[in-house]
Amino acid sequence: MYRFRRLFAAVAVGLLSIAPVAAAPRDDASLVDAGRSLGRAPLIFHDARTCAPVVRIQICIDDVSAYFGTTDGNARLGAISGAGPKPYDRLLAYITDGDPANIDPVLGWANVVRAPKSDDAREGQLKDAGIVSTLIASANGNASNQVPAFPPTFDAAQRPASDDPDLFSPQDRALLVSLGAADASQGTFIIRKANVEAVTAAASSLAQHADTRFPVHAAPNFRYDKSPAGYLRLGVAFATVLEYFELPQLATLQRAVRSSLQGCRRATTRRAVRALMR
Amino acid sequence: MKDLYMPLFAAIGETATEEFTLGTVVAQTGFNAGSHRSSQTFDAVMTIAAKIPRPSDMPAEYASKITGLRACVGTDFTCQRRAAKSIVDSLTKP
Repeated sequence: MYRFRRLFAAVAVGLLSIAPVAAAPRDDASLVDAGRSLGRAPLIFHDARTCAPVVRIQICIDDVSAYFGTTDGNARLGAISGAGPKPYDRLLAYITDGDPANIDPVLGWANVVRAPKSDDAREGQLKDAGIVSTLIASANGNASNQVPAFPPTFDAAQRPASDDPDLFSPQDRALLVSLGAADASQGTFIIRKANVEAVTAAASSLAQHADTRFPVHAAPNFRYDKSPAGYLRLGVAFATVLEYFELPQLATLQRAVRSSLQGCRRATTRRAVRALMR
Repeated sequence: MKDLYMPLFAAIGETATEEFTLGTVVAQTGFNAGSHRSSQTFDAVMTIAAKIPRPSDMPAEYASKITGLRACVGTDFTCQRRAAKSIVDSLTKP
């Protein structure tokens, strides 16, 4: 009898260990943020100097890592003609150490690696909204040329957009569907010069809706107080804000800058910051 | 760029605390190292970094890291960027 109990316990433990564990549902804000992260990654490929601000180093590494998921980044990027050995490792080294000898400019123009897609329609739409609001909206003002051949990440066309009225406007959903359709038909996602203004304008509108519903958290949430460390944080935040203004290609960060500035203004040293901003 | 930062640092010297200035130097040094901006601005930032004494009432955790950053003055970009990141990581941890 005792042996049967032990056998039953062993089988039960074994079954538990192989039983599928349901993943916890992600909230809408985190899904849009995940999309923003996927949208920032191609911008990093295109110009890794966007990771120059120190507060962005870990965020950039997380963005690039999320873009490749669990796949071998070196193997996938290595398929690009002209890429040197271990381009993924070198990209991370550039972000961490800032050594330009590590960056391979071919990544920004010839990359064809796709980001991982979602199986769930609602998740996919929210992620796509984050991607569009970051990647396409950042091309605003670049109407003199086509948007660079960023790797396709949209899959809205493969999954009909949700009719949930709480999710963005009908125009926003139409944009997601049209971008997904273009991705599916062209194989490579490129916004042509002929419609770049219209698409980026629509994407900017979507970005405004997304940012209103799901605020951007693209910078650390510094804790300001009247301590040496608090003033040190304020100095880091202030200089970082100025650095962001040097990076106009990142519309998402531009919007984060405004919220950072508001944080500075709420800080105890608001008088000093005001004086500096004059 | 130079036009933007020179008046800024001049203003900081008059109106803000030493810690605030240190924070701007930390961020700027890390940014310069990350973008390899070896211009007059970079030299000015590093000159300021070298002159700023260690604040006497700064917590030891930050003071030692700032000393580490100052030790990177005149060395390679990697040293500066990693030292700046170490400070910012300390400042942002919960």
